[in-house]
Amino acid sequence: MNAAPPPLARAKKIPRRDVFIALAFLAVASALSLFASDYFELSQRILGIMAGLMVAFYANAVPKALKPLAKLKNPARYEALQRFIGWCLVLGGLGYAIVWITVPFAYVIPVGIALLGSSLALAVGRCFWVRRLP
Amino acid sequence: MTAGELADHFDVTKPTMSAHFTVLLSAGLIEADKQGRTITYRLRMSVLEDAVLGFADTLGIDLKPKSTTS
Repeated sequence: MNAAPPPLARAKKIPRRDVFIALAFLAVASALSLFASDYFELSQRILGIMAGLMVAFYANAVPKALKPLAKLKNPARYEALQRFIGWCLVLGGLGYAIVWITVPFAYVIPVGIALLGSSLALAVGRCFWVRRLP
Repeated sequence: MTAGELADHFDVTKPTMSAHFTVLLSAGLIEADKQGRTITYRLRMSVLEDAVLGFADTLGIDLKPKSTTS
């Protein structure tokens, strides 16, 4: 006879707001593919703008997610890093949305990815740089 | 900053400051860390709040509500 599996760790509750945002995104994508299949470029632009705004929305809260002081060697440095990461990703997300509004369609994907990728690379690079500090 | 350090900057009593801290904590604007007998408060600002504050500072806009005295 097999032993009973250990109880699952209590999962962190997902906020309703986040579920709603995800469902709204999927609903818009589905609606566009069903009813706007003749307007491919417009559909892609709408989804690109929504994706950029979503990145900016979630990155906005990054500086607010503070770790307990007891777990930090240098709280000021940690919080400055959180702020930097938040700013990078918010500006990257907003820039991505603006790219989808303004850039000609032939170039929008490489330009958008370059912009968002750069902001992410900057944030990650800063993390590694801070880790090397004494 | 610790609660005591913050209270030294204002001309109010420590119990009054404590009440203000409670309000700010429940609003999610600050975070409190208790280590022994010391409570350290930290600002919790999103990027948008930081931007609005910086913008207001740059333009010299006073964001404090005007007190109404009769």
